[in-house]
Amino acid sequence: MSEKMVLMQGNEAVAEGAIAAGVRFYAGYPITPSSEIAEIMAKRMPQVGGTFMQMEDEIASIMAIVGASMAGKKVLTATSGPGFSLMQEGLGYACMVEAPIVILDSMRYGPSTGMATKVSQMDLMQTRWGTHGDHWVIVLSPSSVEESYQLTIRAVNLAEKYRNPVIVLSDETISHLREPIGISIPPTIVDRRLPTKKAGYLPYKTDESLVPTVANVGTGFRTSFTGLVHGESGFQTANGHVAEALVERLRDKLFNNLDDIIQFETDRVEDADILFMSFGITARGVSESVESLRSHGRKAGSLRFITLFPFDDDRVRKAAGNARTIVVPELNSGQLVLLVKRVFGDSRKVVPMNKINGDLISPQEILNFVREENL
Amino acid sequence: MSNDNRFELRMTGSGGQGLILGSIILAEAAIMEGKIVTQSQVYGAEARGGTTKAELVISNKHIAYPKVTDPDLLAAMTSEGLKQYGGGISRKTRVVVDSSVMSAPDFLNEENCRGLLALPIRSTLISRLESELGLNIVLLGIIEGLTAIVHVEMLRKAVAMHIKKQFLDFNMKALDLGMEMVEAQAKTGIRI
Repeated sequence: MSEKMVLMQGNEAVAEGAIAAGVRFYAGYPITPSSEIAEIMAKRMPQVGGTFMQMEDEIASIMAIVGASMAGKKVLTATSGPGFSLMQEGLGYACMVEAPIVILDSMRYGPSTGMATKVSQMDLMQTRWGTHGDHWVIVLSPSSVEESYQLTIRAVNLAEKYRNPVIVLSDETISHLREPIGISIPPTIVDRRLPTKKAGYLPYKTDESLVPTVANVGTGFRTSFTGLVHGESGFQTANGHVAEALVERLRDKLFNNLDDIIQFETDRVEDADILFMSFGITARGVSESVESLRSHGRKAGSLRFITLFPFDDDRVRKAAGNARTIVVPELNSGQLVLLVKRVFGDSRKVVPMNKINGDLISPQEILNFVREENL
Repeated sequence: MSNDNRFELRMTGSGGQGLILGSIILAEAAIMEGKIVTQSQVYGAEARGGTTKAELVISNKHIAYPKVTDPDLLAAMTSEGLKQYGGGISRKTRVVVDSSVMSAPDFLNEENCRGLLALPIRSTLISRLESELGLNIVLLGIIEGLTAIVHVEMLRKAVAMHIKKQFLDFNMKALDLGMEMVEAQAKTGIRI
């Protein structure tokens, strides 16, 4: 191993990944199981010339990072389900003003305040549909401490590149897990594009990238931004054509770039007759089950969603091979499986496997499930 | 380590004994030897002062499922810990209990575990080192004595990473004490 490996906790990896990606503003309201991120950022931000703000609640937290982002900072906040619920208003606002922000949601057991120290994957659909109206977010799902570091960097870069909120969807287990990671290689950094000419400047005018070059507040450009429907000038309008064009552009700026945004990890999909589709911590139990099934002669495979949203049916269909049975294990009552069923309809046997007691799905439980359900 | 190179350790006791720190120290020693680890714990308010659990998986290769499912070694420093987290052991599990705070559990036998080692850990620590602190490091010494899971020198290095200089001597003695206790037990001929 050429890199020096250090033992790091998942939450610590998120904080250090954010710093490596250039995050210099953190505002948040600590909540289990994400609290260590606030604790570490409170210490680390001043060390790197950044700012840490302890806010009065999660609504203020997300609004603070939107403001700092529009002023040019790379920003992060971290929370868990109960706090993420409060952030939904600000998340929609960030989509509309096209603020590059990163939110870490470490899923604990819900609904409501649920069980603070127990794991779940119950916020999946909340990341996509938690805030009202047609909107699009990028959601990334780490399954290890190492990946928490890497995907936080990627989240910051994608937020900057597409001027869009990016959610890193972690969970209690990964947040508190310690694993060795190597972090000596400096990451690739992406910075938002900025306007160059003041003459004729329109903050929300775009080129073929569909991503606007909004000036950072305080740099001498006359910039307006609002959650109301707005045209290229940034000022409010109730013109239906402008509204349609805006919402279409918010979608297309991501959907024209799915090759750049969407990542899966596949394992022996090619000849699999039983395929597991999962994300986050659940994929690690799956990985051992696939190994075990293979060692017993069963053609098993795995598809792990690294990017959860945007969710592209065609890409999932192509990546899934020809397995006749698709099992979808998740720590909720069936959220990812809704999307998988949408992709495959009745063409495959899609089987949900759900666990909602605050514990992980172990490899043995998956093997038992396959046997008991005659899959 | 078993055939698949996976070693699973579960330590349980009461909050404040430093078992989580102990598991982190052992994890770091293993990393220094180029091994892969996953370390986890029971987390939350209920662990503080109450019953706690720390888990560590050490392997020569990638660890997929990060939690302990079939421990090679279970160390229980309180009877409550054994009661709460003593399940899930098998015939491959060696069990260490602190006999100075609990009687040897009667439900453990050749049928359901690989062996039971009852050592008066806390009372020996108090009589030999005149301290109630350092139980976690004595336990690390016991684990090392039983398994040689890492090189002793790596373990010393990892201890030094976490212990303030003025307490380092004491903690090295605590580590040695743990290893001695295993050696002494081996000499008496009691099989574990």
